[in-house]
Amino acid sequence: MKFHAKMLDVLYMREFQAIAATLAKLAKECVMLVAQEQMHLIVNEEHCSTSSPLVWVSIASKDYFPEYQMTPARPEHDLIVLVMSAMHLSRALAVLRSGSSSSVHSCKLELKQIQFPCISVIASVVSPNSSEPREVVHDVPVTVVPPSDWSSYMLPKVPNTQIVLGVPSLRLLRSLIDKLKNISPSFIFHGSTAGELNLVAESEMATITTRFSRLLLHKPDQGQSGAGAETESEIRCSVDTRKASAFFNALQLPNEEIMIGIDSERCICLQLDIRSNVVLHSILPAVCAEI
Amino acid sequence: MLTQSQYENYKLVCRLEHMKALYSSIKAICFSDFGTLHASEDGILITVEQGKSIQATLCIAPAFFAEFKVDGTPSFSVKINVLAECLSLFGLSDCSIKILYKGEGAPLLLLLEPHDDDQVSTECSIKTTNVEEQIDYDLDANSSSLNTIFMRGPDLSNIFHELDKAADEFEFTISPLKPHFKITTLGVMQAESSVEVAKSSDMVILFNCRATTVARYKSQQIKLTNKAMQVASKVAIKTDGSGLLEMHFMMQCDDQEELYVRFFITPLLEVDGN
Amino acid sequence: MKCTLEGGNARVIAKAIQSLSKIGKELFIEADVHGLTMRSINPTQSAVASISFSRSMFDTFNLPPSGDCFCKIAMKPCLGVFRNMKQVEYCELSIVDNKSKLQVNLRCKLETTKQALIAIVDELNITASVSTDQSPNSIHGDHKLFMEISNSFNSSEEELTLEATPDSLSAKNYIEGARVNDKFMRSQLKLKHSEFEHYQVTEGSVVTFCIKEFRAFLLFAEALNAAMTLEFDDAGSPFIVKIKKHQDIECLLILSTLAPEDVSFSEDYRPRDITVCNTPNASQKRKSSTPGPEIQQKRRLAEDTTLSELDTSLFQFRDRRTEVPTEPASVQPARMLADGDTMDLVDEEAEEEAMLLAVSDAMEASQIPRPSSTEVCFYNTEDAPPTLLPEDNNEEDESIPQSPDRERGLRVRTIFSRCFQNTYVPREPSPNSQMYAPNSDTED
Repeated sequence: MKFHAKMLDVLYMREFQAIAATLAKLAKECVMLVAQEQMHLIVNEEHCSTSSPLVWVSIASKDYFPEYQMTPARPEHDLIVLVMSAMHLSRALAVLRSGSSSSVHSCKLELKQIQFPCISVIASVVSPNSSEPREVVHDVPVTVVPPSDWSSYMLPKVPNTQIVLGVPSLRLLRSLIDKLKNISPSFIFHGSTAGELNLVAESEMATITTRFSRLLLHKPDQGQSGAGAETESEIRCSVDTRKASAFFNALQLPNEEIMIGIDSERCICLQLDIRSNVVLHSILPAVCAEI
Repeated sequence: MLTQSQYENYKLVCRLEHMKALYSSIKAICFSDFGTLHASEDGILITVEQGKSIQATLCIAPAFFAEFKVDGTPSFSVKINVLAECLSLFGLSDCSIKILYKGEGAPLLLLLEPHDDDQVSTECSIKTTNVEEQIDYDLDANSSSLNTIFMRGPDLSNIFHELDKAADEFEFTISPLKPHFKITTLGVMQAESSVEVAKSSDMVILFNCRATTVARYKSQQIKLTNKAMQVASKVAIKTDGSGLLEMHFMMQCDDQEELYVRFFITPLLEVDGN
Repeated sequence: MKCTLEGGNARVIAKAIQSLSKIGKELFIEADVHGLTMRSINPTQSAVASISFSRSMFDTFNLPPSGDCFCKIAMKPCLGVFRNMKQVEYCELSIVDNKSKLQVNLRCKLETTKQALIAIVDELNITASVSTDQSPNSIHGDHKLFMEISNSFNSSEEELTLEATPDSLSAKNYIEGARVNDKFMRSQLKLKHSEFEHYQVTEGSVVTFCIKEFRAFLLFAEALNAAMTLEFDDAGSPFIVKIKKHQDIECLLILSTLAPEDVSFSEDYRPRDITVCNTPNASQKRKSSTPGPEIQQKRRLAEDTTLSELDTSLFQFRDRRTEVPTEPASVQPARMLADGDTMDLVDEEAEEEAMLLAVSDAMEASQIPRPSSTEVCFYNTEDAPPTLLPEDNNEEDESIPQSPDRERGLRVRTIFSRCFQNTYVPREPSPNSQMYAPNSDTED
């Protein structure tokens, strides 16, 4: 089993760091699925008592890593499955952070065995105070998951949704949901094919209705929406406010637009296109709304 | 959305283009569960109390609003922290706000529209309850010991900010002779400290003192004025022989006192008999 | 004592106090003909910091007729007084009320004055009898560089290891080859010698010390915008940090370093460790199970790498230990248990590995000052004159023979050893307590 990858582009390195930082805010453990064409990072603390939702990021390996070599343990496998601390990964990559004064030449990821299996994150850094490049190495301890257990670590599928709206006001949305947390334990997404999204939080003390209008309708396509009565109807789903807020507060990426898909009464699918082949997903499951 | 004619059904209609000052003033009095709002031709008063020893009132003159209509003297109580949360739904983005109230039993309506995103708007409907009884505090305006100091807010805020946070009590001394204005911190292990401001200091706008007054207050209660202090442009401190402390925090930079917070804090009883 | 100084200098003193407050809970102030010195010691007594301000920083400087003057005050109230110094124009420090209080008067802008009285807890002083003159290794560089090194490590990190070779310096949060648990992220930063203004490392050296106090000092270097000098010898002997600014401010931080015999090494690493490490190694048997022939051989290998003139056979080694006046840190076993790493592993893998190797440098015993040099002497004015303890006297006092039986009785005893210590040594129990160098306080 071998894995080696190298990043050279500053922008990609920063994005990769921002992804790791986002995941570290959501969960203790992070699953890294290393495949030939893609790398996936998954955090899933659904089963724990925490309020974090399931979040995963899929990265086209060729986009981020000019050097990318993976050799599974056996030729018939097509994956390496690793579990590591999300915080460790984030800290190891912190040197790539945008805004830090040092410039980074390259960053390598290598799977190694040093007492324990680790992903060595090796960054070559030039500080503003000196011209000499320095090597910063962090060995992130990992657990190698045997193929027999892979079934519990597989990539989630994006559920089928009736409507997908592009909301360009991520900053306002984040602030709003954060405040709703103090008002009500759950709130409702109402989507309409007219390009409107209403968020409704209700409690004994107050009802707060927020309208996002003139949104881009990604789904159903304008062409298909001739079906009439069905598209007129509102699609709604109620979710846990803390869980939604945990997702929005964790985001460390500079995106301003988020796609919100609603599977009526089942779940909310959130999708952030970091770039065309690098996509972050999350699913907020439905909760029973008190009406 | 509401049309002009629908407004006529409302007992109270106010509109503000920028709600930042309103939000920070409400935040400044957010130290208790419920706040009571009284509206009249003279403006709006929102009062919050904690125990029987501290009371804060936010006073807003009609001129503060871009639009202000009141029918009679409506009054009601709301959860003050819910009101504050609603005003801050969009975080740092400045919003315009409309405040509407239909009358007894009706909710308080807030309509917020962020200036930087015209695709977003929100409507909050906050449950109101009956008015709670309040204590009437008053300093004796004719007392010979009525002392009044006006100070620049940011400078006084610095002084209060640096008071030892471990102290149990603060003692305020106001006197016509030196030290003029002095705060002593009491009840700190292994240390005692004090700060004095001379009346000739540039931070003192007005110093009106005929007789020395000395009184002690719970430091926790003084600390409840922190948020008001931090945003105040000007602070008035008034007290008399009884020790009752009245403080006014002006929230606007200009001299028009359209928005201010008034605190009343009762003194601790002298226990050491000196 | 009474001294006055203007606002800018008072802010420097405030920064010094803020920095020292991150080291200890008490502040020791001493005024003498040279100026004012402030010191602090950490609760585990593994770090002593001292910051001296020359008389030239003060407008007036009056000593009591008796000459020197020193006192101990609690850090917390002091920190409160010196927290906000922006407005301060003039500062006056004096000892009042029959030496019972330190009075601080701050004259601030806008005709504001602040006054504070801080109770003097004791007329105590501390000194560290460590020779700070000559160390074989010395590294000098801008505070920014050391700040970058420090910032590369997580704030929860407790120890920092510096691996110095003649041409490069590696900063690590672990000791090469040492056992770590499988949740521990090893981090390291490799720097070339040319990054430093001055870099003198003749022989390779590895030192491990507490990072918290180092960071506290670094903050002060940053406040002064001054360069820093690190001086050290080898594992187990003191690590010294010096900051100097315009002849007016001199700072010294003495940190104990982790003694090599307190590190448990991983089998995976051992062969490499022996070839890479320049320091002579001697293996020490920790677990009382019989080593197999293979391990015997390994140990032989380790012994072969030691200097020839030193006989480092197992028994000889133990004898040596009896001579060195050491007191195993009373809190060390507690820490290992609390960390749950090394000890757990020892238990788990004891059967398989039969023993743990501990690198112990024989050289330390012969060349480096005795561990007593890292000791911090406390003396009460009633008990001792306010001068440095004579060196030989110190040595005499400390070399009380210790029980030679390190293997068996010790572990049990060390847990209770605090009870056996001299009563006037204030050793505060702390869950985090750890000692990196043997303390020479005797335990019997």
